[in-house]
Amino acid sequence: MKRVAAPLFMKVLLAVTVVVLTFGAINITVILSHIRGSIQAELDQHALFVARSSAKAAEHPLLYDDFVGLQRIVDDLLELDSLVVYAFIEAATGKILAHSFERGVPDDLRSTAEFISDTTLQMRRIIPAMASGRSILDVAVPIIDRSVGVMRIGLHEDSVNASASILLRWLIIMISLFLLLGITGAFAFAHIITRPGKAISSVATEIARTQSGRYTFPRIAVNSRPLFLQRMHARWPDEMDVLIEDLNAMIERLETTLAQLQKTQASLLQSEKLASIGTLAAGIAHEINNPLAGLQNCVRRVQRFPAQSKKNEQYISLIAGAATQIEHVVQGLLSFTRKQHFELSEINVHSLLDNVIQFVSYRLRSLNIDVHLEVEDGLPAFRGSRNHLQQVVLNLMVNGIDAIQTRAASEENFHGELLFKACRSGEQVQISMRDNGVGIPQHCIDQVFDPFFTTKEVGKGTGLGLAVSYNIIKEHGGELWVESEEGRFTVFTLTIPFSMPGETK
Amino acid sequence: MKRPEYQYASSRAHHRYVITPVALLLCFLAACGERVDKQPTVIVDFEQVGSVHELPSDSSSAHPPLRVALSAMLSPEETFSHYLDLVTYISGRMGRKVEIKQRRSYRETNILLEREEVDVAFVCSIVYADLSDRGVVDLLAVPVSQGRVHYRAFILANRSQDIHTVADLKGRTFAYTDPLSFSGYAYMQYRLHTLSLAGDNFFSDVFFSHAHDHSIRLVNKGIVDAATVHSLIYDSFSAYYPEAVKNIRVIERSGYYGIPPFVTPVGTPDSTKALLREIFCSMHENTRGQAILSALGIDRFIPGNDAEYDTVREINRTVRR
Repeated sequence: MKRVAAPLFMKVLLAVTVVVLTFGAINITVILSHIRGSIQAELDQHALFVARSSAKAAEHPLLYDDFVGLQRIVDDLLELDSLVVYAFIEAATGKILAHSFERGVPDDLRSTAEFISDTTLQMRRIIPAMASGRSILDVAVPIIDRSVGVMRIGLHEDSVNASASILLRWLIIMISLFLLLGITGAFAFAHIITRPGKAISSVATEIARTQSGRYTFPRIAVNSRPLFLQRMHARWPDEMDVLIEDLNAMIERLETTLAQLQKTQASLLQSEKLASIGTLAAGIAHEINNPLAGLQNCVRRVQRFPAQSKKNEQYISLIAGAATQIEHVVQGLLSFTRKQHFELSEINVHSLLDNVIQFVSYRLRSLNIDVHLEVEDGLPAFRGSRNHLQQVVLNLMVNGIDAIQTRAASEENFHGELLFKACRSGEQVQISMRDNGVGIPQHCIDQVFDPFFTTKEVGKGTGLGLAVSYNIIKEHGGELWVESEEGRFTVFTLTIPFSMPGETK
Repeated sequence: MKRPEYQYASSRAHHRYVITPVALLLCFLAACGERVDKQPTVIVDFEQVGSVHELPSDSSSAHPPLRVALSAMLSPEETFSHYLDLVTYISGRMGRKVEIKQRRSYRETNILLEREEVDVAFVCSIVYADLSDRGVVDLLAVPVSQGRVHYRAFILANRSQDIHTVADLKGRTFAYTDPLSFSGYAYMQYRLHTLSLAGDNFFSDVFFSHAHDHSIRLVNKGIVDAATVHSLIYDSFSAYYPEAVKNIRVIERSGYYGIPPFVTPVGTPDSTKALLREIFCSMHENTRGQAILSALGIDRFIPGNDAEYDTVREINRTVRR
């Protein structure tokens, strides 16, 4: 299963942040440049207005040679307009008629022949040569006519920058607020949007992790939303609501299906058992037949020679032995068929294997198959369902015997062998069964545990034995796997924890 | 779990699709945001002072500028713009720079003439009458306007006021031009004198506007009730700016008196006088001069006759008595 590397929530958040930041950057750039331009234009307008009105006011004093009046205009300008850095009035002859400088009009300002040669008024930007110089807007406006005189004023330009930086600060504050709001909104939005997704994801994960054998699953909660949202979603369901509803329906169907499957499996188990019994019938008949024949013989001898009390005593004890033998077989068969519930009990590996071997001892003998048991000393008992595990071992043995029989039919002087090994493997008991039968073809090995898969001829196998066995081992929390080489051997290995996790059923 | 490589590749491709337009947009905005400086930028040293001198003045050259005083019959900027062409023309003809001098009052102009600080002056009739009597100035040239060398005084009143005769002006506010103006002062004083209305309290208030056009504006706007002005200036106003006189009623038109002339101080060399008179009186003979004259409402200049100002002298004497 894929881990969530970048949650939807983070992606929405990232998207909103990017949008807000982009929006903010665009705003800052556009608005700032726009407003900077307007402030600049306003300053230009202001400069022009101040210069023109001063020039207008200077007309009379200039024509009347009223230098006191001209100086007054210059002084008033500096006093009334804080933006004005300097002002001076220059006659057409170059004579300075009034000025605001402490020492005199700077030469650079006076040598402006090309600047004032134009008949229209002009503006230019001045940067003072001193280090602390702030940019100045220099304006020249003719008084009546350039042949009479020129009004020159300089205005601080950094007011534009100051205003722009104040504006920039506000913009940044606003955009930060937007960002904050956006991220908060994104949090809320992402939460609302991704919540159903998370619910679906967690339920799906739980279902995926659920151990086989459990057939009830959690539902995706649709009412985990706030009340007003619940109402809203009830009235106007969106895709998520529909999806959740559909998924819940699917989960329900899954549950039903799994329950049915479980029932089917149980009945299959029973069928398989019956099938196994069918397979065993012949052996069992023989198992019973032998003592029965001896028993009949003894009974006939006793009937024929009732007086031979000494001999009859011998016969009667033989009869009792045969009856006991028959009783054992029948009891074993009963114990195999009767118990169908998953009842956990302490199981000793030795007794488990002995029991099963006994069921098939006739086939083993008739096919001349040697059975070897290698059980680790001091191997503790483990918990499991004896009845079910007997069936597993029986299935494996029947398969192994079948494989050996098939090989024996085609090979001269073949001697069949079954080797059981049981040992401890960590917290598990590991039991393997090796037969030297025909083996399993490589292309079939992945399918051997599939239900109804069989390589045996029709009527001989149900194809359920290994599938059922696999499920039984899984339900014990263990593993079952196979290794085989065609024509040489097959090894089935199973592991079962000593104590089952979550002992159910 | 290891993610398949192709996912990275495709996500990188997506990034490219997103980043490219955003980057382009930002570049575009940055280009837009670039402030376009309309004004040229120069560096100015505010510490360097005093090495630039005035343009070489004509006073230091062989020909000092011709100084022309213009009495403020019109407001100074109007006078300047009206007479600039005339003065420039004379400057061109004489080959000398010309300096225009204007003063707020006729008295100040008189002082310039008395101290011979000007070479030529355009003065009011009564100023000429007075200064010529005192031997300060000589008549240089007299403009001929509408075929005459005479002009009148017009007494104006605001239409909203019930003023139809000079007698109705009693208790009103009144604007004179200058105490030394004929049409703008002396004539009115003379009329009051002849009507025996002269007295300190005839008008409720009296102003001196120092220019005939100012007086016309004040009456038109109703700021003063009445005024007395130069007839030719009033006529030119009513011809060119009917709006400026629409609230004005002319309640009295005087008889004809000698027109304000151009004069020279008596000390001016005869050769200069003769040259100037020749320039003035021949202006109408060339197209440039003709154009300048017609813009001023002058037909031509003539040498003039001092006797034309005798009636002005008479009134001057009467008023001063």
